[in-house]
Amino acid sequence: MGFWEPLFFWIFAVGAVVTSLGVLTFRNPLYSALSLIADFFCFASLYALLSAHFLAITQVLVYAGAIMVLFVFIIMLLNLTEADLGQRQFSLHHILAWVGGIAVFAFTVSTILPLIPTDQVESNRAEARAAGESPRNQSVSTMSTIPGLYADLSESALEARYRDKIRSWSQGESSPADGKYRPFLSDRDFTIPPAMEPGTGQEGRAPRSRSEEQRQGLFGTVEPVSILLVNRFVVPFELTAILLLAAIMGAVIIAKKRL
Amino acid sequence: MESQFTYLGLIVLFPLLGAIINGVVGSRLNRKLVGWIGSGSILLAFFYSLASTLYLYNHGHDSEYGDLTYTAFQWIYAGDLGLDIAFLMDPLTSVMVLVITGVGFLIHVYSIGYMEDDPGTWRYFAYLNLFCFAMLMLVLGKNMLVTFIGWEGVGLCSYLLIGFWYEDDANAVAGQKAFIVNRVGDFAFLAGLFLLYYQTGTFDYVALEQMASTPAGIATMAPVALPAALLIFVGCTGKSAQIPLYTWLPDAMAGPTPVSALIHAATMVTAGVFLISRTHFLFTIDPAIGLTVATVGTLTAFFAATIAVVQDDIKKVLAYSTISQLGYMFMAVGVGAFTAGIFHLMTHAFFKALLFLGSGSVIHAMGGDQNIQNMGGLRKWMPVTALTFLAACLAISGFPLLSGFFSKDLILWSALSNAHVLSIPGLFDGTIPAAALTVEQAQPLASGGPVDVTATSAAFHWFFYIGGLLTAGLTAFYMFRLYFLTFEGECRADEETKAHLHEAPMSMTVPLSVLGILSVIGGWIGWPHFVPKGWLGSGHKGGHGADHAADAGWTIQDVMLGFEHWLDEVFVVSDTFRIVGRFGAHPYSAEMICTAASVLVGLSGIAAAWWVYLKNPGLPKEIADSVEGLYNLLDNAYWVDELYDSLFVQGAIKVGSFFHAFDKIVIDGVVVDGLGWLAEQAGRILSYLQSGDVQRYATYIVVAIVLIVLTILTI
Amino acid sequence: MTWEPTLAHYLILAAGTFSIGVIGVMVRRNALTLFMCIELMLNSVNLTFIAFSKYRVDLDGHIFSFFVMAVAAAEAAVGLAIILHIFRHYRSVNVDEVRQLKN
Repeated sequence: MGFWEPLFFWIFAVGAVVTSLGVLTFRNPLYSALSLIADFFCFASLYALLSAHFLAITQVLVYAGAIMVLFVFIIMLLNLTEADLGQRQFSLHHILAWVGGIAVFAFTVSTILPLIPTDQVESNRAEARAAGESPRNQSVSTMSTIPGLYADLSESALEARYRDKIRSWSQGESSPADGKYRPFLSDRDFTIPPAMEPGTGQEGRAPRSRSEEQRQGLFGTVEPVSILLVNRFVVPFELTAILLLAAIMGAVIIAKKRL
Repeated sequence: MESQFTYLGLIVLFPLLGAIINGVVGSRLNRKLVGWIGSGSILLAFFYSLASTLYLYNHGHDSEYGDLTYTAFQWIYAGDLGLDIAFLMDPLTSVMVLVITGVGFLIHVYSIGYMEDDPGTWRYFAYLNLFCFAMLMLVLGKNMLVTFIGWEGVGLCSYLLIGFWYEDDANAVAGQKAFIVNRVGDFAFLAGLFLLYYQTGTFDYVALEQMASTPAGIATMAPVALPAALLIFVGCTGKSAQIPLYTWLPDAMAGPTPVSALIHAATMVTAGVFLISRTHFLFTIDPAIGLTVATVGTLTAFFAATIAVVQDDIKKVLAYSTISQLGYMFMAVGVGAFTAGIFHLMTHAFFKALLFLGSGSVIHAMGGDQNIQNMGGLRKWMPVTALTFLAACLAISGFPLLSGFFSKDLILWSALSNAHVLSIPGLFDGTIPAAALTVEQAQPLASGGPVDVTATSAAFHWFFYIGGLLTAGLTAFYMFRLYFLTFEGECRADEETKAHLHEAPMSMTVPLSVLGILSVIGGWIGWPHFVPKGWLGSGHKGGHGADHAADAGWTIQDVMLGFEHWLDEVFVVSDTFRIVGRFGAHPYSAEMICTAASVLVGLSGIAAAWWVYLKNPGLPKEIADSVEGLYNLLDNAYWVDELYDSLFVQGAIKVGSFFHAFDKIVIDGVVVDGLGWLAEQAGRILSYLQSGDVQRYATYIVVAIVLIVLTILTI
Repeated sequence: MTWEPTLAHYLILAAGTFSIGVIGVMVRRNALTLFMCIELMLNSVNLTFIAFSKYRVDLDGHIFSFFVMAVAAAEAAVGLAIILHIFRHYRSVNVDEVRQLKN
């Protein structure tokens, strides 16, 4: 479980909350936007901690990069003055809003918290140490025995839970797409597209022939995500393209001065 | 489960597509194009029907029940109830589908010519296609509810087409009358259907038939068999215009003539006969049901024929003739001669469609006049129409070797010779397994066994036969009265009409000719048994169709009895266990006597008509004057309409006016207006919440969610 | 609370940022900030997806997050265009001044 990984989690978690509050409280939208960019970086880091490497990069590129630039651009374009921002007004529904928002948080946490038997985990670990087992394995087995929301999400835990799957991939018994891929034409066999690795002299080789070690770090990287994306989810993926096209045209038509 | 046979879906789909195209964009299309879209969709359906029939003939026996099925989609699944929109094609359905699409196509083509000048052509073809769609649903349905959809659908289309020229109030009223009278029957049908479902737990025909062929299943069905069958029969009397619900059909002639030909002669009105044949296992469980059906059929056949004798409207004559012929079919299915009933249904579709189309051609030429007293001698102007009309008249009169001769004789012969066996105690309550009873065992039981049902029902069967024979004579008489008054003798039309007389265009005469040929040869697949079996020897392989593939060569006997062999597997449950011949296994001589009798009666009917209407043209008036009371009685159709009017319609109006007042004062005044007032006041108060500020709305939503969650958590 | 991050940590964090987003949507009058709060909520949801994805060793959550991002991009484009249009019309981006359905 280590020290550095949890430390980073806490840093970015606190960072995310603080910058979120910043978005909420800054009066000038430009500050809010900058705060949100920082927030997105925190989120990206959290994604990376959760082994979602591909999404972490996407977050930075798409959200922090593209979308927020658009926001900042619009803010600059509107060039809001102090008068435009208006006076801070207070009304009854603000109280309601704060009460409601805090209640939402309270309810959510109140459903999560009872499911964390902290003491039990600690005592399990103590027992395990007493029995001379490695605490790491113990923590993993604790995860699997508690159904629900308590899970060790460190890299090492992932590795342990992922090991069996990776082994079967690397030995060619199964593939990351197993159970995820539903072919359009059921009579046609599907093979995973060969991994293209220029320079290794192994182009065209099926990815399942990789070694177990090479496999270990794969969860959440581009390859398994993309295999899913262009197979099982290819129709939604293509529809996304249409959606973006429609959004572009919509934006153009709405923002045009004269229709 | 058999595999999906997609053609069945296509058969139903094409007319629906035609209806949609014509209904949606038809008003903007060329009239001719609309007609050809309508006809083309039916033609496609006909081709697929033909292909399905051929497939059924060649491969149908590979599967367990010899049927083709297609499940379009799952419709209702709730609890124990599982309903699919599913289609079933067995030999019975194949006959119906071919008649509907085949005759339907000819009538569509005819309509192109007939409706040429009408601005509502697109509406007409859309309705007509929709009707074909519904009718095909009706006959192809694999369970009773799909049939019921079709049943309601054809009723709707019938209503729409009767009132097609709705600018005239009389037409609209006629449509409403047809619809309302049919409703009475439909309600009974639905009640019977639910009763049957309540007892058996299924709507599926195949499942029901299986149930009805095992003793345990019969025991399950027995408590509701009689009421359910009678309720379904009431439904059939509504759709098929039998006593007591026949009064709508003569009025239904208000619609365009091709509609009368398609809906009110060839297809829709035969739905009742089809339905009874489809559920034959139910109608033969208890002989009382069959006797009821046949009695109603016989009475209808006779009384409708007597009315037809005095009618002067060319279409009214044909309408009563249709009712009468439907009576024959009900007589047939009532005595368990389902094959005969369906056979007559088919031949009747040919010659009655032809008669209607011919009359349409005449009306077209006469400029809308339908009174036969104003016609006469039209053969000179309309040779094709006259010739085909003559063929149809001969066919319906039972002239030897024409289609009607074969089917009508088969019915009359069956009416006399068939007998039910299943009311033998022990067989009915399941102590004697029905499956153990073969024909050979059933016959001694039936003729001289411990309980001789045939003796008690013999009187009924003689009544059916005599009634049928009399009707045959009347039929020949009034049909030739119609023919002679219309096409022969002197022309009684005024000069202006005479000048306009003309033969119909090609699109009308070609369907007439095709139907004329069918009316002549249509019966050659169902000869009386004594011809192929007695005279030509028993060279056919016969029996159930399982060996169709085996005997590659057909013998002449196979062709002459083809219709019977095609259908016999459908009615195997009834034929094997419940119906026996009264005169033994090979009663050729008795059959021959029957045939001779009906030929004689038919020919004397024709001769009488010739004598009265051509030889002595003054005679009809004298006869009418001498029995004025009877004449008036017949001319007014036994005053049944007036009777129904005073009994039901006036009563309904009184009840209706009471509830109208109740509705005005209590429902509208107190309840409706009160609720409105309440809503208005509540809205006035709540409108303060609607500030137009979206953030307030968002806040309301969140607070509401919180409150809901809080409520759930505290409960 | 343990020092090591668990699924519950991530869920509570996501709940927190989501709630902040909800409050922002309700109290901020500036349409741009309001919009940013919506993005914040979307991101919180993504975080739960990804946390669950890792917990279940199943990549479907990643895919879903990916689609959420695509939709967010589309939404941002259209939404900002609408804000631009509103600003031109009302000379203001405060949502409480935009309460008429016509004119």
